[in-house]
Amino acid sequence: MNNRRTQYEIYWEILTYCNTPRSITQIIQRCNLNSKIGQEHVDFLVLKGYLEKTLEKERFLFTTTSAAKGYVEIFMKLYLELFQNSPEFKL
Amino acid sequence: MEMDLELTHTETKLKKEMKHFMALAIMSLAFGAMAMAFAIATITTNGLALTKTISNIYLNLVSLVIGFIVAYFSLRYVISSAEVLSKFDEIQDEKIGEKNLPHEKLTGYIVKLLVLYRDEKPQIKRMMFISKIAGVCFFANALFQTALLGFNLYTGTTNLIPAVGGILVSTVMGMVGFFLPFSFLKYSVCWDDRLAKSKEAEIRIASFMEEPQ
Repeated sequence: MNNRRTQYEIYWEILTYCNTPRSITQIIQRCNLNSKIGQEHVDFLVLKGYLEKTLEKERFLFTTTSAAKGYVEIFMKLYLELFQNSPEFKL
Repeated sequence: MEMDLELTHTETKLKKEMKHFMALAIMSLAFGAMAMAFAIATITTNGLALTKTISNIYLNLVSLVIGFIVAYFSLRYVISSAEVLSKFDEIQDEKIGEKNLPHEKLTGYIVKLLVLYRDEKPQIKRMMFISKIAGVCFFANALFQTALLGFNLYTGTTNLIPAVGGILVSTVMGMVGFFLPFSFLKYSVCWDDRLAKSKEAEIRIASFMEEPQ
């Protein structure tokens, strides 16, 4: 898939995936990103305070922080709304 | 309570739409395959007829040309349909059958379906176009088969039942050829609306991120 996702959709995917601590490799694989873009997104989310970087058994793990709760909630609200408030596709 | 009801409604709507789209994608693949089979049969029949008789050579030639056009477009159509179906199948997982899906899972499906539409929009537009061409070709074929039948009836060299069967099949395929783009158009209208709304949502999310937390 070409995966034409917006950056906000990618952020949401990363944040929901990192509800439990994940390594950068796991994030990149799960969110189907290349390593450069994946690292950039993760760095941005760390900078925003949405992801927490911790060192565990000699590797860095990323966990979603409580600061990201607002972002995740507004994202879900808007996307559910856009689906709810649109015409239904029927054959 | 109200929120829960809305979510149940969204879940039902999502599952129903996914089922309808799956049906449309399968129908479209089946149409492509049948069109290709029919086109190959037309090519074979008319190709063989050309070697045996020269009495209605022009009608056979026209049918042969239509057969080749339909075969080419239906092959492209089958490839496109299979691609769309395969990507759509990737989105569906075993969890889609479960009731009361969590918000996250529902949002995940909506995002994936939106991404699928963004990716496949040009492909779907192309399929709509090809399907209409195939529809026109099938109607044209039905017309020529009718003319051929009339000619053969006049000369007394035809079997009525298979000829009428062929005309009917062509007509039905022509109708399906126009029904499919109409259904894809309905699908496009829904998702174009959502795509436009997602751009508005993006602006709101961006301004939320810029706000001091």
